[in-house]
Parts: sequence; C-alpha cells; structure tokens
Amino acid sequence: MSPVSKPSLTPRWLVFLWPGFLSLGAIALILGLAFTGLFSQIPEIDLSKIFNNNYLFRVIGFTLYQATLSTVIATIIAIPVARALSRRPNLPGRMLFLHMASLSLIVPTIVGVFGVVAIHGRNGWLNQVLSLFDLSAGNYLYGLIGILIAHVFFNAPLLARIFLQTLESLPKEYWRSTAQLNMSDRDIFRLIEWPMLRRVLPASCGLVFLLCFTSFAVVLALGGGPSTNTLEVAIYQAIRLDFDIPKAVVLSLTQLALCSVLLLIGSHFSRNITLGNTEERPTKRFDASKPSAIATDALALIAMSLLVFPPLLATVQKAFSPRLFEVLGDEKLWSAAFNSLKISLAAGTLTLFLAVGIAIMIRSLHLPSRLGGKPLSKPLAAITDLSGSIILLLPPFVLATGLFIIFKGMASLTVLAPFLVVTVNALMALPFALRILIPSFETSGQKSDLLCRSLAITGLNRIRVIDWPQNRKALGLALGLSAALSTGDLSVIALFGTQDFTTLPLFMYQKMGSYRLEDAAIIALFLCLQSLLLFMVIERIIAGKWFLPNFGKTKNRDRKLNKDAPHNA
Amino acid sequence: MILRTFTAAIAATTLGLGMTSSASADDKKILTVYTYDAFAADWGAGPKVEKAFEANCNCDLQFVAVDSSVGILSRLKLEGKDTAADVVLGLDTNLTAEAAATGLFAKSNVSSQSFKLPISWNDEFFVPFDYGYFAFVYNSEKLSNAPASLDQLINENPDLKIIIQDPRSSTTGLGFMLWMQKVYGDQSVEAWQKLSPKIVTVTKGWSEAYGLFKDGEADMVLSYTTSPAYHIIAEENKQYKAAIFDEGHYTQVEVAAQLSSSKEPELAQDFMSFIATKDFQNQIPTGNWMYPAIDLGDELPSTFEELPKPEKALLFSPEDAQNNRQAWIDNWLGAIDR
Amino acid sequence: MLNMANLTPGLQISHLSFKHTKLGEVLEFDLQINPGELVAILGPSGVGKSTLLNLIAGFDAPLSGVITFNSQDLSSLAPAERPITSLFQEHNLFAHLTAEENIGLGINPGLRLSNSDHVAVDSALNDVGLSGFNKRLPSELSGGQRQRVALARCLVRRRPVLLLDEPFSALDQTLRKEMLKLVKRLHCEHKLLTLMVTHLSDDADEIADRVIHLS
Repeated sequence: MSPVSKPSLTPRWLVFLWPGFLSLGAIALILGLAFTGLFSQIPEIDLSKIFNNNYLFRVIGFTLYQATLSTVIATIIAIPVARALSRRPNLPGRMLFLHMASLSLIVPTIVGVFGVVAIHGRNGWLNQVLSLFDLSAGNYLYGLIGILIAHVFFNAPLLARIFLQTLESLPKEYWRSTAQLNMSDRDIFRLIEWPMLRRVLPASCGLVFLLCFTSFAVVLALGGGPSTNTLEVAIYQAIRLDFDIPKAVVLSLTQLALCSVLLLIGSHFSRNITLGNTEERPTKRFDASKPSAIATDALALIAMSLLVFPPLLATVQKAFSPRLFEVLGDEKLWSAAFNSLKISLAAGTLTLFLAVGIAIMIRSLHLPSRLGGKPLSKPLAAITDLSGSIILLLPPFVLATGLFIIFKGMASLTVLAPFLVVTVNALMALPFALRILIPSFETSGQKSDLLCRSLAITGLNRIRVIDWPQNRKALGLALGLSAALSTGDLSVIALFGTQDFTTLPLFMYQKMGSYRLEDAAIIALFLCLQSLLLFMVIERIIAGKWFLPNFGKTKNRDRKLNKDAPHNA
Repeated sequence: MILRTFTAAIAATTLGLGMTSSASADDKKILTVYTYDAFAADWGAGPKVEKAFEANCNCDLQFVAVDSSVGILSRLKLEGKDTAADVVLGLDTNLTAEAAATGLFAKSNVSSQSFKLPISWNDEFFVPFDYGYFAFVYNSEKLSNAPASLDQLINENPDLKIIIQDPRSSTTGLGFMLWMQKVYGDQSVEAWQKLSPKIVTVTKGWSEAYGLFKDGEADMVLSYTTSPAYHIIAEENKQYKAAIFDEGHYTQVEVAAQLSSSKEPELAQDFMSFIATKDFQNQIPTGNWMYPAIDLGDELPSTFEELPKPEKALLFSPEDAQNNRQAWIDNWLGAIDR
Repeated sequence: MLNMANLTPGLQISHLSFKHTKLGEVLEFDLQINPGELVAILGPSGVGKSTLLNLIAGFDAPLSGVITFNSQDLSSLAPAERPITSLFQEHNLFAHLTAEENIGLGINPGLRLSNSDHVAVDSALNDVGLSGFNKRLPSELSGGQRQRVALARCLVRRRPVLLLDEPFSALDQTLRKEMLKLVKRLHCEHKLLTLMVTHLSDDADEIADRVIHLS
C-alpha cells in the first residue's frame, strides 16, 4: 500500500475495505459453490407441498419460543457472573473458572448432553443427593426444561466471557469516579454497566439465539418428542432420509430468512459508543467490597458453577472405568487425535483469516476517521456483521452436501473429505471468532487510528507495530476457540466417512454406536481435554502470556528509575 | 512474524491432510465397499471380513465407512454413476425400494436359496447379509414385570418409561414406527397417543438412546433382540434382556448390492458370493451383533442359540415401506406431538 | 502522631508508604498542605505523583502512614466518604451519558435529580463557561470542554479538597492556560484546598501558591 502522504489512485473506500471484501468473497464463493451444487439437483420446487404441513409451523413457533427463552435465561445468568468477575480480578481460581467455563462451549454437544443427563436425569446426581433425604426432583429433565438447561449450559459461559470482555474494556477512571461519587451497586449497573452491555447485547445474544434456534442434538436427546423439535431436524430429515434436496434448500432458506430478519431488527438496537484507551492491567473496583456486592457476586458465581461444572465433572467421572488404560493405549485413538488436531488447526487458521478481514472492514465502516458516518457505512457494517453470523443458519450437513455435489467429479472423496471438513468447520466457527475480534479491532482502531495515519504507519508496519500488539489477546482467544470448536465437531466429518480418516468425535461415535459406552466416555474426556489444551495453548502463545509478566522491558526500566523515595522539596 | 507462522501452519496441515489419503499404491485390484461405520470399525465385522476375503482374492478390499445406512444411500445418490463404490453393504429393506429406483445396481446372481431368513426372500438385486428383530431391551435386575406384548407395553404399567428413536433420522426408529403400523394398522395413531406418555424422549439415533438407557434414564430402550448377546459375550453380564412380544417383532434385514458402474465387476461378484459363505457369516454374530443370514449350524455362538426368538417376524414389502413412509411419519408426528 | 495531627488544619500526610505494583519499590511521602492553598506537585513521570493522589483519594491503600484532613483521619474512609473530589487526565466523563447527566451524578449518584438539582447543574455549567451544553455527549465535546464538564461535576460535589491529576496535559498551550485560570478562579471562589500534579513547570508556576518537586 502507498503511504498516506502521496495521493493514491485507489479509491479510499477500497483501501479500507479490501480485507473484508476478500473474506466476504471467500465466504460467498464457498456458499455459492454449495448452493450451485444443491440447485443443480433441483428440477422444480413445489412450495405448496413443502409448506402444506401444520407440523412445520408448530415447530417454527416452538423453536422461536425455546430459542428466545434460552437466550434470555443465559443472558440473565451471564450478566451477574461477568460483573462478579470484572470487579474481582484477583479472585482465587478466577482463571480456572474462566477456562472451565469455556469448556462447556467447546465440548461436543453429545458429550455435554450426557453430562447434563448425568446431573439432572432420573438417575442423576441431583436426584441421588435428594434421595438421601427421601426427596426426589422427579423426572423433570425431558421437554422444555431439559432443552433450556442444556442450552444455558452451552451458552451462558460464552455470554459471560463476552460481557466480561466488555466490562474490562472500560477505563479504570470509571471505577474511581463511581467510587468517589458514591454510586451504589444498583446505580453502577443501571447507569454504567447496563448501557455498555447493551452495546454488545444484540450481537452476542443474537449469536446465542441462532445456536439455540438451530439446535439439533440437544432437542432430539432432551426434547422428549417431535413437538419440541427445531426446523433443523426437519431439514435433516429432508436431506438425509428423504433425499429431498429441494425441500432441504427451501427449509434452510426459510430458516435463514426468518432469523436474518430477527437479527437485523436486533442489530438496529445496537449502539456504538466511543471508548478511549483502557488500562491493560486489572483495575480495582471499589464497589466489590460492599457486603451486598459480595452476596450477589457469590450467588452468581455459585449458580454458574452449579450449572456448568457438575456436567463436566460427570464427564470426567464417567471416564474413570477399568477400560481407561486399554483405551488410552489404542493406537487408533492417537491417530484420531492427530487427525482432529490437524483439522482443528487448519480450520481455526482459516476462520481467523476470514474473521480478521471482516473485523478490519467493520472497523473501517465504524471509525469516524475512516468511513464512519458515510451514508452507506452503517447498513453495510450491519450486513457484513450479519453475513458472518448467519452461516450458522445453514445446517452444516446441507452446506457439506452442496459442496460435495460440486466437487465429486473433480477428485476422489478420500482426498477431498478433509478439505471439505476443514472448510465447513471454519465457516461454522466464524461467528464466534467475529464476536471476539470485532469489538477488539474497533477499540484498537479508536485508540490509534488517527495517530497511525498522522505518523503514516500503514500496511504491514501497521499490523506489526499497532494492530498485532493491541489485538493479540483477542486473536489468541479467537484462534483458540475456533480450533477447539472444530475439534469437537461431528456433523460434517460424519457425512464423508472414509476408512482411513477418523477424527476423535467420529471415533467416539463409532464406539457409542456399537455398545462400547465405557470406551466412548473415555474418548469423550480425551476429546474435551484435547480441545481445552489446544484452546489454552493457542490462547497463551498468541496472546504472549507464555512468559512471566515482569519479564523484559519493565526490568530495564527499573534500573533507570530513581530509587530514592520522593521527598519534600 | 505471526503471518509467517500462520502460513507455515497452513502449509503443514495441508501437507498432512493430503498425505493421509495417498496410501497403498499396490498393483492389486481394489474393491471399494461402502458401509456404515459400526461395520467397518476395528471391533466390527469389517476387518475380519476383509481379512477372510483378501486371503483368496489377491485384491485389496477397502471399506468406506459412512455414518449410517441412510448415509450410504444418500452418498450413492449424490455420486450417481461416478461413484467409487463397487459394492454397498448395510442398506436395510426399508431403503431397498428407494435404492433400486436409482437404477445404479446390478443383479446379484446369488441364489436366494443360500439364505435362511425368518421371512421369504426373493430379490434379484439385493443380497441379505444379516438380520435381526427390533425389540425393547431392559435391565432384568431393575424391571421385573417387563411387558410381554406391544399391547401390554402400551396399555399396562403407566409408570413404565421407554426411550425410542426418531423415525426421521434413525433406522431403528423407522423400524419401530413400521412395527406399530404393522400391528395396529389404522389404529396406530391411537396406539401412539396411548404410548406417548411413557416415552421419555425420542433421540436422533440408536447410540444416544442406548446411552441414556444405560445411564438409567428409562426402563426400556428400543434396540434389537440380539443386544443382550453383546452384554453376555463381551461383558459377561446377563442382566440385560430383550422383551419378546406376542404380536411378533418387526424384522430388519440388512442387505448388500453390487453397482452396475463397478470397474471390477468380477471382483464385486466374487464378494457378493462371498457374503453367502460361512467365512463371511461367521463374523456377523459377534462382530455386528445380528443373526447371520445363512445357517451356521454349530458355529453359531451358543449365546445366540439361547437368546429368546420372536414367534413371528413382521415386515412390510420394500415398496409398501417406501410408498407410505412420509404419510406414516406425518401420522406419527400428529399422534405423539404433545 | 495523633497529637500532632490534631494541631494541624489542612491536609497532612506523614510517613505515607506505598508499594508500587509495577515497579515493586516502596515509595514514601511526607506532605503538609494548608487550608486554601493551591499546591502543584512537579516531577518526571514514574516518581509516584499520581500514586500520591490515588492514596489521598483512597483509590490505593498505603502500606503505612497517616493522612488527615482538618485533624480527621482519612485512612479508614472509603473514597466517597473522603472530603475529596478528583479530576483525572482523561475518562472523567462516562461516554454514554450527557454533560448534564455526568454532572448530575455528582449531586445524586443514582441520577435522581430534583428541579433544584437541575438548577445547580445549570449553574455549574455556567461556572465553567459551558451554558447550554447540557445535552451534549462527551464525544460531541472537545477535550477542553470535557475537562470543563468534569470540573463542573467536581464543583457540585462541594468537597473542600480538589485533586487534579495532569488534568490538562492533553490540551494545547492556549487552552491549557485558559483552563489553569479557570481552576485558579474556582479554587478561590469555592475556597478549596487544591493539589495539582503536573510534569510541566510552566503550569505549576502559573497558578500554584507553592510548588513541590518530586524526583
């Protein structure tokens, strides 16, 4: 790129937006190919036949209800947890809590479901504990309650993490001011925290809404019956059992349109507030020491712990069976683990590239120093943001089928399958990466965009000197999360089985499918640990947290400083 | 710096991903068999079948494991005449009509006389390789008064809890729906409505249902009459039993077929004939936990001899199953949709 | 010690020590500011000027030592209970609240304002020369205007001690001079005890009754 000082022939908007166009182009290419493939199989579409079905409309109604309720409950639990963690940066076990909580996001759905059952089921821990007192909670799990418990289990930690990031981005002066102004706990929430959270609420809750809307394994396992199903189940039936591609496409597009409208309405309420630079180190919050604050925080953290940790503990407990060492010694397990590692690293990297492009584009569209305030900027940003998320609305098995149709003639599937798996997994992780990267890039842009331009720091220099150090924490989180999400994914790989290429989730499922439930439980734990380890290692390496914090620069500065105590002159 | 690391990572993974697939470059002929993953798994019948077949064919038998038997069919439909498969193994009779309609299959030339099935078998394309009966499995130490008929299951013991699979996503689920249809015919909607309160949940596939059952979430789970054999032989655990119902049990016959597009038609033909031999069928009972499709005589594990067998085998013709499936599924949805 | 404190009006800081989290060094302060005095604290960055203000305001806790104001020991008081109001270099204003609301928080921390409170806000805005800017968001104000609004909030809080932490360092020279004059005027009008931390000796000389050098 040419330095800013010289007049450039490239239009200004293109300079700012090309990374985003590149990402969007890649996404459009993949989706375009998939739909070309699907449409090539459609001779004609009979809409009346597809929609002449009351069941479908009831399912859509229930799905909306269930997804809304799940999202609201997850949000209500996540907000106090995020507050508690944000005002207690030195709480013992805080990092452990965060890492454990992110586990619920990355465990494969089926493992999470069995974890929830182990706690809340008829024979679960809760009923076992209650039976000591001759009580029983009964069989409450299956139906709406079960769906809600599982959805909150999977999503509340994600929301808590996003909210925590938002609260941590507020300047330390805010907390000093609130302390000096004698603002109460409630006032701080009402006047400071809530308005800030509202900013990220539409996008993050929108993401959770989509996840619940398209929920598949959860509703089928815990829903109790077809009345609690989602549209996703109907799509699955259409494409897998009936091989009715037209119906699958129409239903997918219906799902897409319905949720896009809802999300667009939601994004209308998101507001952008300009924030300044933030202190990187945790700041002390004075409202944390009040008894009422301690009580509410303890309550929030305990509630979240009770919701999230027991199912994970149950997963660990189930793995400790006499078969443990035999399964761990199986060479197949390790080759599956290695395959999963390759898939997740490749998919995570692809996700990161796509997400960075989009985040840069959205930042340019928001920053007043760039294209912010221009007539088309806001809608364009909203649509870009949306197009990164709505991929979740296209069922992975539909996407993969479309891609398969396109590529089947070109190469043998054995060669192709891993690439398709990587591509689809990368797209599925994209919405999560975007939720992390967009706010981070925007904040860093607000901090340094004008400065960069006045100093003519552009192109690769800008990335190296400014964007990388300012965003590496978020980049690490995004890459770690995307990779971990792809480790646990089953939906795509299961479509293109080959004899030689087995991933961990597939291996686990094969064991489950042939009575070997003990083995499957061990592999499930192995899979969770691999996801978690990958997540933590990537996050730490990229975020540069690998070394002790007081290493390097600060040490040199120590020597230069005057060691004498300050004194009166 | 970081960009370089990423590029390196991509290059490395790309290489790694590509490499896994370019194995076995022998001159031997290759026979590709599409099957479902449980069959091809290390512990399944697949590897032993492969070994036994390769011992005589001077060829390389390769399984491509798809997630389910429904998956095999949709994979074939997607690939059409370009498919790499020479043989598919693992469709069941509920799918054969649909499969035959694709016109992708060649006649098997295997005499149906070779097989011993509880129903009469006459199909020029599809060769049965095993069969079993759908049944509800229970833990006899926990459930003492298991129902002895579908009628008892539906009408007695209101506290009984069962888990079934969804007929829209699972072959066992579909099998049970057809079973109800076969027994109750026009009254099946009422039967489903009465059964509905006993159904704890309807899962996507057999694995989830069986897992939930083993975790104690229900008294009975929809599975096979042969499921207890696994627990007896592999785990030496005799507490799991299948309830035998007076009305008879719906039967699942699993079949294989040869593709007309096969580039190794003779080899494929050899494999089809091989299915009817003891070398193949001996792997079925303790590999796929189903009944063999031929009479194994003494070689059938004694546990399978001892398992209670239904008096009557129920089955719709493939055409009936295919033609009525959607209507029956809609009925089912209407009946148990609470 | 207590006896000595009893005898001294104004702000008294004795043997106040504090461990700097980043540097890991122990800093110690001794200071006496008289009532009505405007004192500037001057020194290069990193010597603990801001730390000193944070200790006085109660944002940081000392290892040992005593802070008293008019003989009252402040050490055990929460920031809000101290007779102190602070102006930081930046982020004094909440970005999503209007100028009026930001000032109103100084009167009622729950922003429940009576009519007379609104009058007080107006008069404070008038005091800092920003009449009519009530509904502006911080992002719609210049840097100098934002600090004026923050000053207005300090005024409505009616605390006898005003702490300024590099309040105008980000502003250009003319604007800075103007702001210093404003501070001086408000200091006199409201009979405040003012402590200003700066690294610019010009600023210190401009308005301070006394300059303390930290090195």
